[in-house]
Parts: sequence; structure tokens; C-alpha cells
Amino acid sequence: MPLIETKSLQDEYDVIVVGSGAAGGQTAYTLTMDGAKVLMLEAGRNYVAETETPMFQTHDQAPLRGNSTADKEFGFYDATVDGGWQVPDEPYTNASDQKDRQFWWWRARMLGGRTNHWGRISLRNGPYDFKPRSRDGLGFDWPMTYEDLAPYYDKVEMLIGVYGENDGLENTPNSPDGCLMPAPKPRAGEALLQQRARQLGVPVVAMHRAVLTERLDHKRIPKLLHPGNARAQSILAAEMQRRAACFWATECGRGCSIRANYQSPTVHLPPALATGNLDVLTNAMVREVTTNKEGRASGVLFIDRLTGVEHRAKARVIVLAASACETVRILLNSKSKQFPDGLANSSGNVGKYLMDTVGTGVAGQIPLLEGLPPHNDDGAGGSHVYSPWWLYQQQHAGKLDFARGYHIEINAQRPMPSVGYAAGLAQHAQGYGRKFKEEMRRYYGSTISMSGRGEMIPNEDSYCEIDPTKKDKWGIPVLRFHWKWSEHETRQAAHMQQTFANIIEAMGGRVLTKIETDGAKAIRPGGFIIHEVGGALMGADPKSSVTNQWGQTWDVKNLFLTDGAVFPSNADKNPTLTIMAHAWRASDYMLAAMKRSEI
Amino acid sequence: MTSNNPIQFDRRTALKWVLAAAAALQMPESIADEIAKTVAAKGYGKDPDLLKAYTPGQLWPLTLGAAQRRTVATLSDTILPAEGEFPAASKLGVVEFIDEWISAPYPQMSADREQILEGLTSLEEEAQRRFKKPFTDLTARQIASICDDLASVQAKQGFERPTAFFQRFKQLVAAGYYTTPQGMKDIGYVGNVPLAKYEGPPKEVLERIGVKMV
Repeated sequence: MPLIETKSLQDEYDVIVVGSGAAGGQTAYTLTMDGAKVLMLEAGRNYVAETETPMFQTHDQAPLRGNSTADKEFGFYDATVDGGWQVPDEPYTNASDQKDRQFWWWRARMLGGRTNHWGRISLRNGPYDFKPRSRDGLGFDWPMTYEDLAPYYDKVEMLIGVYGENDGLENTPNSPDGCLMPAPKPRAGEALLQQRARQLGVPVVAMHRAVLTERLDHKRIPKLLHPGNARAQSILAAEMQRRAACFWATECGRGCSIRANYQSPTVHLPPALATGNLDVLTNAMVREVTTNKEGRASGVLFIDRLTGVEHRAKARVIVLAASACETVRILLNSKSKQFPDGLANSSGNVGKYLMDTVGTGVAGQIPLLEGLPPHNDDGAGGSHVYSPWWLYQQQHAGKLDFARGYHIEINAQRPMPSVGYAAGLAQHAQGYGRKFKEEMRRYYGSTISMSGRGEMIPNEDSYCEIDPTKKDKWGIPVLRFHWKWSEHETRQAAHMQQTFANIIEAMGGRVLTKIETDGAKAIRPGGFIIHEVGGALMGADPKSSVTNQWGQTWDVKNLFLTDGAVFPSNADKNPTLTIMAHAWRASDYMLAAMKRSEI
Repeated sequence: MTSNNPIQFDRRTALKWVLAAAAALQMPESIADEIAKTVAAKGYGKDPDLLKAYTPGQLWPLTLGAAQRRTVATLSDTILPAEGEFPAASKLGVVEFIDEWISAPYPQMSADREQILEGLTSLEEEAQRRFKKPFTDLTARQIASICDDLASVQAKQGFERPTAFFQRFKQLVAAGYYTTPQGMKDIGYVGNVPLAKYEGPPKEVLERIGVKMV
């Protein structure tokens, strides 16, 4: 990836984009394809998936056979660089020392951020998800409807490539023809789970993931995405041809050297760079947004992480896409006489209503899957099926003791054995010697797990603020988190536990983990699912929200937020696709406003 | 996280990992106390070269002496002996892996260190007590007589700690063995090769599980 150095910074840009992940990548893509001159600042190092990805490495080539450690929390081969729930020299704090009131903050310090290792699950929010308060009186409505964002979901799906099917299920939108790629067939374990879960009324349908199951249609799609822009069309067509289809091997979390899955540095950034309109500067840790005396954003102040030297960059428009919490941190640290409580914070709500996803899991062993003939089910490197939330009507009728839904992520395959997998099987295989080996062969591929991913309702007790004393290595004040799950979340987690146990039973299996009836014991800590959104909510009223529906801050007209910080709710659907759709829509608005000279 | 984070049903490992992470978050001491003292050495850091092949001992010093390594090899090969085309565990680097594991400067592995070292010592003591010989000099039948006492699901009276050791040791041997190409083949994993097409499960597999694919 061609990069610039600090000394080659231009005097002024049209737009500075802080962050290079799903939000920053999409924002820079949309802006540069339409001719805007953009500077992208990334806090971490450059990263080149084509040359750095361990595509076929087996675990025996890695330290500790690739097992997770405090240095690499998702295993040695996980793509994450300089990241994790703890990042050296970049601390954060929790206000409470109670175990259930902690927030775990995952960060990555690399070009493309967390898009390099994410699960690629790409689900659309449904119509209900934009109007949750209107539906059940809790949380906040979005100042837009599903129909407002739908055209951008279409565009993002076509641009990045998402496999999936249209099932016509409630609040689980279909995509128009031509948006989705064919979904891979279910694996044996997934197919059995599908058959048995359906008997319980739980739908199991094709997962939607950002993996190319065939080559992108480089003749059709560029014209649809960039009508009337011949240059953008030709750049995108060329880049689409440089992406290969999945060859059905190696885990997506390692990254993808053939660019078959979505990560910002292999999908969003190459066409943006090909326009000649994008400068990317890495190791640039943004401390604050600077303002002029008219109260407009004038640029950013950043620290070169390699030298520790402070620099400034200027632009007409500033976009924060640094991930929800980092965006909030930059806003709150941008204090001045004019903005004593931080930038864009006249509502006092910057940092408030931080959300994650409710997560819990159950594992089971299924005798019917024992001793199957060996066959390759690596597939698309992640789930082929999932269960969208299916109890909307019962919930709406008040028959459940929690207000919002969840989906089920299913893991049922014959994986390349990891340390955890082999050790787990060994716990159940009896004896030693030949008998033990036979049992290991018999049990291999017969275990499954289900993970619930549910909606959390924003609450007053879950937020972040600037820690009054602690600073990071560069002297930048750090975040302090406050966290509390409500009973809507813990009861939902208990419901997940029981449902998963029922599905395992319906498969004729035995549950391997303890089923918790107390959801507070089952729920993962805040931040553990790494779906944190909120902190600078969009809304219809400047008094209570931070931005309008285009991520434009009410207080500073040329300051936009295009990441998950603006989400007024956190539907069970994984947030990444919605982040990209919002970023595209916000960028279109920015471009139009710049053309009208409003900003 | 999503599908690249399947929950691990090895609860003991998972629990330790959660506890370790909790410690990093400055959790209350009562939880931190449960975590063994971490080995003092440098880990590989947060940006290691992922394309390089690593060998045990390259990143941090190993622990086991020659006699301990022999004991680990004998016990590993008792648990996973050679069979047909598949070599015994010690021929696939399992001894070196276990040494690397218990020597690693990370909380999860340090938690195993004490149990494994203590277990190896008590194994020697048991060999001396029963047969007046070092463990590695025992006949297969003598080794079996000890292992039979340790391999039961419910620990026999007085064998609680050695049984727990044996369980954990067995897990580590399996981890070391089945993460090698030979071990993967042995267990029935076929994959990690590029394919032009993904066809889904073979017909005979679907028939076995009674599923009709649409």
C-alpha cells in the first residue's frame, strides 16, 4: 500500500478521515471516487494482506501451536497487529472494580483496523431496528428509516461482496436481485442442526458473510455504483478483477492474501488510492480536532507514534471514523475556551449510551455426527448458516421477559484441530493408547457450539468519559468506562442458554457446558463481543443528540462521525455492514454539501 | 466476536484465559490470586512475524531436564503410541511442545506449569514406590498399571492430584499431536488445500445423518 510520510503532507485537504477500518475505508472510498482530496490518518502501522497473511500455515509452525496468549488473544495467526483488549502504552480504566461492571475495549493498531480479523458477518438491520422506541418504548429511534439506508446496503453489498440468501423473514430484509452472492451449502453438522432446530420452530438459513463465493461482476457493478462517473467505474472494474473468489481454505480471521474476503486494505483502499485523491499516513495518533474562532473544525492535531512529535493537518471537513470509543475520546479531548466540555458536546451526551452485543454460548456433543467419513468442510472459513431472531410476535405480545431479539451463530464443522479443540476432545475421549486414539477419531467433528448475539438497550449506566488523571504514553488523557447490563440483557442471555440446550437435545446430543438459568452468570463482559457502538448518538433533536442522520455534528457543521459512535441502538445484527452503509450515505451528503458550499 | 471465535468447550482452559484477561484489567485480588505466577521472560509481542516457522526454545528458555524429557516422552507415547503410518507422539515434537508450553511467559501456560512439574515428580515417586525403578525403565505393563489408576474418570481415593495431572497432560499431548499434519490426518481432518469449488457434504455423509439437502 503506497503511503505518505509526514513531510509530504499537503497544506490543506478537502477532508481528513481519522481511521482506516470499515467506516474510514468506506468514507475515503466514497469521497475520493467522487474527486475529493482526502487525507486518511491511521494510528497503527501499515499492513499488507497480500504479503503478510499466513494462509496455509499449520499450527505446528507457530509458537505454542498457535494457541491464544495475552499477546495474541485470538491465536497466533489472527490478523490483528498491535491490538487486543490491552494495548501496550495505551491504557484505559474502569470506574468500578466489580467484575460485572467492567468494559473490555478491543483495539487494533494497523491499517484497516479490526476489518482485518473480523468474522465477516454482514447482516442488514431491519425496519424495526431503526424504530425500536416506537415499537416498545425503550431506547431511542434512529432519525431515519430502513428505506433511507436500504439503497446504501445494496451498494455496500455489491461493492464488498456478500454471500447470503433472501428468506423473507420478519425484520430480516431481503436484498434486491443482484446484490448477494450464492451462499455455500451447509456443512453436515450445520445441515443436521438446521433440520432439528426447525422442528423447534427456530429458523436456520444461509449466513450473510463478506466473502466472494464467485468473482465480482466487474462489468455490471461499477456502473450501478458510480453512474455517470466513467473514471470511478474503470478504477473499480480494474480493482474488482484483482480480487479472487474464495478457494475454500484457511480461516478468514487470518486475513486473505487473495482478497477474497472483505478487509478495508484489500477492498476499500486500493480503488481509493488509484484515484490519486487519497493520502494515507500511518502511525498517526490523533489527539484532538482543532477549531477556528468561528467555531468550525480546522484540522487535527496528531502525534507521530514513531517519533513522538506533534503535527497538525488541515482540511475543510473533518471525519472521525476511529471506532466508537476512540471517536468519543477525540471529541472529549478536543477542549477549548469555546468548547470547554469537548467538541460537539453541547448536549452533554458525548460518551453516553455506549452499547455492546449480548453474548453467551453453549457447546454440545452429537452422537449422530460421530465417526463420519472424512471430508473437507473448510468451506468459506466461517459459518454457512445462522438463525435470525424468530420470536418478534411473541416478544411484541409481551410473552417474553426481555424486550429485544438475538440471532444464533452456529459452529458445526470438522475444523483443522487447534490446541483448544484437541484438548477439549481429549477431555471427553476416555483412556489412553489405542483406545484413546480411536475415541479421538470418533468424536472428531461431533461437537458443535452456538453463540447468541443479542441486542442491548442503551442505558444511563453504560458510558465512557475522560479519566481525570491517567494518560497514555503520548500524554493523551485516556477513557474511563462505566458499565451495567440491565435485566433485558441478562434474561435474554438465559433464554439463549435454554434455547441452545433445547437444540442440542433435539439433535440427540448432550450439552457439554453448564446451562445457566441466571443470565447474569452466562453473559459475557461488556466489550467482549467487540460490537461496541454508541457514545455520540444521532437523533432528530440537537438538544439530546450529537449528530443528525448524516453523522454531521449539530454544533460543528464541518465535523462528521461515520463510525458506530452514532448508532442510537445496537440491533442483534452485527454492526459492520450498517457502519459502512451509514458511512457511504454520510459521505454522499458531505459531497453534496461541499458542492453547495455549505461546508 | 463472531465466527472466528467459537466458544471453546475446554472450560478449564477457557476459564483460565478469562481469569488471566481479568487480571490484566485490574480485577479484585481474590480473582487475581487464582492465577499462578507468570514465568518471567519475554513473549513474542503483539506484532510477531506470522510467516516464519518457530521451534520451541527459540523464543523463551525451556524448563525440562534430560530425565524429565524422557519421562514426558514415555508418558506421551503411552497416551498416543505409534500406530500404522502414524508415529508416536514424541516423534511429532510433543515433548518439545509441552516444554515450550510450561515455560511460556503467559498466565494461561504458567498456570499449567506447576501441575505438570509436580505431576512428573509424583509419577517418578510412584514408579519407585511400586517397582523400585525410574518411570522410564518400567515395562509397558508396569506403566499401564500406573496409568490405569490415573486414567479413570472419577479419581480413585488418594489419586486426586495425579489424576488431575494425567487429565491435563493428556490434553496437552493431544494438542501437540493433533496440530501436526500427521495428527490432523490421523483424526480425520482433510482440508487446508485450495479447491476450485465447494460442493457441500458428500451424499454418503448426508445419508448417514439422515439429512436431505435442498
